[in-house]
Amino acid sequence: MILTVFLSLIFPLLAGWMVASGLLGVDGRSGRLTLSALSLGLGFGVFSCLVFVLLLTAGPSQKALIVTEVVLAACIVAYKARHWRRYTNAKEAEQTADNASMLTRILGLCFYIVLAVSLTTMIVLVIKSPHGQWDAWSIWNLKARYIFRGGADWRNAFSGILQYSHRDYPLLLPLSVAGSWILRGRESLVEAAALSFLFTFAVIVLLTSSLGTLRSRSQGYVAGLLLLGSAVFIPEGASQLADVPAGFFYLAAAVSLALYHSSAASEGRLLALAGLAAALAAWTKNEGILFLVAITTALFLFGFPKTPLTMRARKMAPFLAGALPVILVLGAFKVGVSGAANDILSAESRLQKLLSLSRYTKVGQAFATLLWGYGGWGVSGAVLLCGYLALVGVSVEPRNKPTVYTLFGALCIMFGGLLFIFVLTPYDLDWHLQAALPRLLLQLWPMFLLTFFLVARTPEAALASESKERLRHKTEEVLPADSLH
Amino acid sequence: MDLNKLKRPPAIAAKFGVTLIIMVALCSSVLLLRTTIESFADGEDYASSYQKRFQVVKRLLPERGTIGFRSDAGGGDWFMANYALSPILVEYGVGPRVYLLNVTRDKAASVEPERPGEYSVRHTAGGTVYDFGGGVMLVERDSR
Repeated sequence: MILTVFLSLIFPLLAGWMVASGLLGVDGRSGRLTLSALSLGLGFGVFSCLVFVLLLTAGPSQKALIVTEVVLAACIVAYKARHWRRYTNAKEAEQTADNASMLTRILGLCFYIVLAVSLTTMIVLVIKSPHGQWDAWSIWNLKARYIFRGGADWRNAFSGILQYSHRDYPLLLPLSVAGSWILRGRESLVEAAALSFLFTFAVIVLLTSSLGTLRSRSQGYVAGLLLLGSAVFIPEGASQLADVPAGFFYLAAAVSLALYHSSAASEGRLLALAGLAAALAAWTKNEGILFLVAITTALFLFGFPKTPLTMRARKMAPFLAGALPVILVLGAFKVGVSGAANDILSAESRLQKLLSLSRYTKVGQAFATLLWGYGGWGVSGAVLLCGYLALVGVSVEPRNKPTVYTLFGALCIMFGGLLFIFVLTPYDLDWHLQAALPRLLLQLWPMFLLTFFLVARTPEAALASESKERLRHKTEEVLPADSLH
Repeated sequence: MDLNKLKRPPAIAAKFGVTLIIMVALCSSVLLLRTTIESFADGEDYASSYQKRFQVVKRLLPERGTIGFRSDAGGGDWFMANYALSPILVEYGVGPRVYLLNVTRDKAASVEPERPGEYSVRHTAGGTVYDFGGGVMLVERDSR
């Protein structure tokens, strides 16, 4: 069984590797890890879009899916063979050439210990709840079952009877699971669990390795430790919900933008990768649509400093081109298959709610309370992060500034958008805030950590000042004070 | 205020900051593992137990179609009925001719079968009840 599960997952991974390596092309240890993590997420994104198109044209046919996958893989391999290029990142090469410092080794050791503990926790959680948590079996895995088991009647997954399962929710997760079942010809609980497992660890690898490329390996380890150490991340990853995958795509878009801004030639293909990742976030969850709008707006406003507006619009073209295919798939789903209006946007008495000050106060208080205590460390997350920043200092590399402004802008737009979603909600406000807000913040958590560690000084830089100081003192001891002048 | 000091605190502060993150992450992840392992003693999770509970009726149902559902429990068991019995659509209410009855409070309403997985059949005034025990029953109304 393990072999067939592996074979059913290998197609998406291969597709993801082809797409990511075609658009990213980074060398070095951190670069390869970033590529692996991106391949995984993008692979399932592309695979789910393909399954959707196939469902519309040929139904859930195993033969059609295998043939399509093989033909596409052959085409991409042929293309890659013709356009094989190797990119080297000078900084990465330099870093790997040097022996890792003692600090990096210690941080690396701690990171891998925490990673091992988290891995064990996740395995235990998955064994305990193999069907996932409430929303997993009432929304995501439910749709996967109806699509796979339904055969020609796969559209029953969007029947009015299943209105509680939010028929308008996008299909990246259900179709990744159902597509793997279609490829195997049978279903099991392993695929959904494996998917949640892979996405969770892809987020960790992507955050750690990308910061390793953009800042330093130690910075990546500290970020990874904070992510793994937050008590909310691993349990949510094991719950088989769509929030961690959505968070993965937010992070993937942010990382691609950061790599674009830090690349010497500002290569458009990295912008296309960012667009693709942002659109796949929209194909994962409805909040992802808000993210797509937020990142597009923020990129236009802050991503191209000192550039005229017309030129900015032109520079945005690769980003929009990367996003377009997935937006078309999402549009086809929303218009042609789901046919259901969004429960929040179609709620009654919207104007009345928008004018109710008490709702803003309640939502604002809920945001503030949750942000203050976020992370589940037992100490306030806000205090911990501010304390860390005060202790190591602030240092934004000039090449990372446009990324930091863009991501900060996107986060602000997201927070504003989420605030309005809660103000407009047709559900009981207290219940909705309690049920959804922690998970919505979790989606933003990895991207926020990336932004935070692009701003924070690296441990190497912070400790190097001590070495320099010590060296200065030693020089002063050896040489008389006069000789220094 | 010297902004440079804020940007570049002394190295000892940075050491403390990095150590703090390491300690917090180590403690938090170990505590989470301990809590998770302890929660294993809570028994089977909701979804797994309901999956088993409703799975037994599937062999009496056609491959496709819509059945009804009535329950004395919360809404979660209806969601689970759809999850367990898909691709059959389970509609809330007793409109369809066949409906699933989930009784969780009045245990006496259901008759335990002789062997696990089996069911007993009884005819009532309006139809036939297929009783799987434990409060899980499939009711088929007589066609007029």
